Amino acid sequence: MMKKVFSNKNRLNHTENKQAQREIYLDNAATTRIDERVLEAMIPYFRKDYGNASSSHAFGKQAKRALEQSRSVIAHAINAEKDEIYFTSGGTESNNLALKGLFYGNYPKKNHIITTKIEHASVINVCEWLKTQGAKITYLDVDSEGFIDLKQLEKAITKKTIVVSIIHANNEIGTIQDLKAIGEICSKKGVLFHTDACQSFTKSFIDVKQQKIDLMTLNAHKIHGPKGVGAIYIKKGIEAHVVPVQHGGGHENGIRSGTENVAGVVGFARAVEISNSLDVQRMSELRDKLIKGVLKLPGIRLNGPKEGKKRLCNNANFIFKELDGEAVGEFLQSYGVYTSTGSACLSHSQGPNHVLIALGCSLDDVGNAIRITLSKYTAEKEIDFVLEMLPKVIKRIKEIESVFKTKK
Amino acid sequence: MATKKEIEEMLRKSGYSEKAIEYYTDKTNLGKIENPDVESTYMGICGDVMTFTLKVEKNRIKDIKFQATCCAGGLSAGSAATKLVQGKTVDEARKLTEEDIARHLEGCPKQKLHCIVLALKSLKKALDEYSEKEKSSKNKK
Repeated sequence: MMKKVFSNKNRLNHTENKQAQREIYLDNAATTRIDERVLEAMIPYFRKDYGNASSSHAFGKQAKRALEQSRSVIAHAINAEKDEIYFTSGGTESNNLALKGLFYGNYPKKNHIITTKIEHASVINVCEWLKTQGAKITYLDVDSEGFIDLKQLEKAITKKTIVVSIIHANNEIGTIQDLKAIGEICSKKGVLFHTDACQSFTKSFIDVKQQKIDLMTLNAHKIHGPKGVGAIYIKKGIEAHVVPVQHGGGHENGIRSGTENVAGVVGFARAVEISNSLDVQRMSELRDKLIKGVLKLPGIRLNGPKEGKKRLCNNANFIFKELDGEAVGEFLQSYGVYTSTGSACLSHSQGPNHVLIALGCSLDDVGNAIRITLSKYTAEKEIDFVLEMLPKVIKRIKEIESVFKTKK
Repeated sequence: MATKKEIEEMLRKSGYSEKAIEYYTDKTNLGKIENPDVESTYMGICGDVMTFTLKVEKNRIKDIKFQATCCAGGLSAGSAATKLVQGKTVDEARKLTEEDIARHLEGCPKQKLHCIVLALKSLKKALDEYSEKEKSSKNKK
């Protein structure tokens, strides 16, 4: 039965419009299509150079060489040193390792972690679990555009504070926090600074030295790389205070045991090499065109920053006032357009979107939210198509609604 | 556990019609037909999943049931959809619109409009799969 649910048929069923023969994927904050060049780079490490990087024979050495070259590429991209990069299975693992690792490396002397109300689940749920282990957690508020208050951060730091963990660019609303300002406060106060940069990596400026970042979470599949691979940057010296979450053969300098995913790591590095500022520029322009076009329609509000520079280049998030956002998403899907909704439905185990709640959105608004996230593969004609279809979708929903006088 | 009365009151307050509440509490046509002529599942963008099973005789829907992992909105919309196409021909059923379900339900919370869309999409997927199956079995003959 599950097979049927996830078959391709499910995707383009009942297209109400012949134009929906093409699929427009606009959920790139969830994941991205792998770049062909990334795939090409990976294949030899499955077929030919499949050695275990820990083996001392030629197969192993070849794998090790690829692993270390990739490490240099990632390090270079964030202005870190090569041995400050540790490969993991992705963003969730890196966030777990940063927070649990630092907690156990400092507890019971210190037990306080500061984070925000708009973190990814792999930070919030780790913090909630750490509470059961004796941690004290402070969740910083955000303003209506999703920015933290630097003064509140500074005040929240105590002698017991181990780390401040703040997401660089938010996955839902695209808010880009001022890493440098946060880094300076943390460094001045003598606490560590961790940032989850899964969404922003290769899209926004990152320099671990300039921005005084101590730990950083990175991953591959948001940047047209493979799923199942990521990294954590840990500034030299700090690794001594990071207790591994996964023990074993002592891979990755003992920080993260487990045979290295060489093909994945090679793909990750290739994806970083391919990324460029022209793509970012193009995405920003398309994003602005989309936002401008959508906001022309009545009853629609933008979530997250209004200023383009402070917003992730590929993110747009709207509230369709007075309209069921899920219905908008469902009809867009009928036209072959794939987006993400704020959802408060039963099947979404995470419940109503906590990021939108933190912005001060009502529960109703959360149900009316739609996130549209672009990639370098998004074509202008695809954005034009969305802008052409949206008024039709809204009209359609109003038609259905008009059938009954909704009591709400 | 909330009593049936409490649940009904809660649904009423959130904007469900008496008809929708009745469908939800009576579980109208909820379930699965043994040896159906078609069984089809659709997952909506909200993550909720609906499965329709149909028994069709001489191109007419003899029996129809649905199962769903979803909210009261989805369950009442699913029931409404089954009620509306029971006894109809496959082609007639295919003409069903969101408005038909909405009209039949007489009302639902604004946030639950997509449940109607979900129910209709799921049903139409089942009808399409039935027709496809018929076509391919005819071709075989």
